[in-house]
Amino acid sequence: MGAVISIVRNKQAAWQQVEDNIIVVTSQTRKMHILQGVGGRIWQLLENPVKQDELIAHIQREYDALDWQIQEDVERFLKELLEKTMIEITG
Amino acid sequence: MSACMYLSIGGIGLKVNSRDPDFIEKTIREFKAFISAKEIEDCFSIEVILDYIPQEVAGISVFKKQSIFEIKADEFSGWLDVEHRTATVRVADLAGVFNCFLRVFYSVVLLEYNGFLVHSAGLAYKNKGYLFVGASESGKTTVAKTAGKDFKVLSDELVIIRRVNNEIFLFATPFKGEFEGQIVNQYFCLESILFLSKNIVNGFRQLNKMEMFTDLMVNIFFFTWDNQSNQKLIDQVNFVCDNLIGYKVDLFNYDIRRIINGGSDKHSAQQTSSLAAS
Repeated sequence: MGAVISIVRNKQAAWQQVEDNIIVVTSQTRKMHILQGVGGRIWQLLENPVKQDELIAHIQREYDALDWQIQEDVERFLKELLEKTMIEITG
Repeated sequence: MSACMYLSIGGIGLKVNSRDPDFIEKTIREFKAFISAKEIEDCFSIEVILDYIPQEVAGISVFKKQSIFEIKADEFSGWLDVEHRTATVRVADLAGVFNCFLRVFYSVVLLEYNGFLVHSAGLAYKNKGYLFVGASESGKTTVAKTAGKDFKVLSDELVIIRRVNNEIFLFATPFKGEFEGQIVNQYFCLESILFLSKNIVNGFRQLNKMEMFTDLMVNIFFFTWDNQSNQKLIDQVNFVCDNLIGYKVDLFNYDIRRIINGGSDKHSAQQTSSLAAS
């Protein structure tokens, strides 16, 4: 995924916050996914379309880790969410 | 000539129509505890046609097309219009097929009534409901069989959970497993949820909300995978987990009374002392 593309939660995914976790149920894959920690925070930030580089910058501001490490982790995580149809690319 | 009967399951009325009086007669016998002698107003109406030729489809599937749910399985095929409270189903003329259809029917309809079906044994003791949740072979039927005379059995396979006026109730169903005793068609306020697992030792511990949520979700009888239905379901499950306590119970030779007393010997001690006094 390129840095300038916009991503958003898949509107076909039902979800619920349970304690510090986000439970996501996708209708396409018929599976339940659990997002913990930073994953749950990213899910919150994906409520409205957001550019990938802006999302990464947001996480870098909030979490104490090396910038390049956060960038790698978030990119990998978003790829996974996309494969599981939990998010979609809007432009 | 058509015949009909009225059922009341989970507090939801159902009029079953069929052109086959034998089917109605057999169904009345099978659903004895759930038959309503009186006509139920404002109920769902199901037309049952006994001409379905069994065919292999991949398990049970429910698809929503606008406001209509299409239901398919190896031995039945039908549609359900929840808004207009009507359904038509073609079923193979085989024992247990209509019961199987009704399980799927209620898994859809209950969402409109803030409820769901869960793989569990439901018991009532001293007017309180207890849910013993677990997959096949986890001990649900054993719990129902060994419960004793002080308990009412609401099912040993699938129980209805419904939120009514912010209280959570446990309803009996005719969807039972191998339990051959009397199922009581009643409902009770749900006191706690116990998640069963078989083990070589007894165990009992309180679950946190996350554990309870995921353990409950994986045991829900549910085939409707549209987003709206999914969201309704997880919202209901969340409400249940917010308002009840869940326990993990490793079953070896646990006494049911001891389980519902929170794993303590309180009840057993009381019983022993009353026996000693007599």
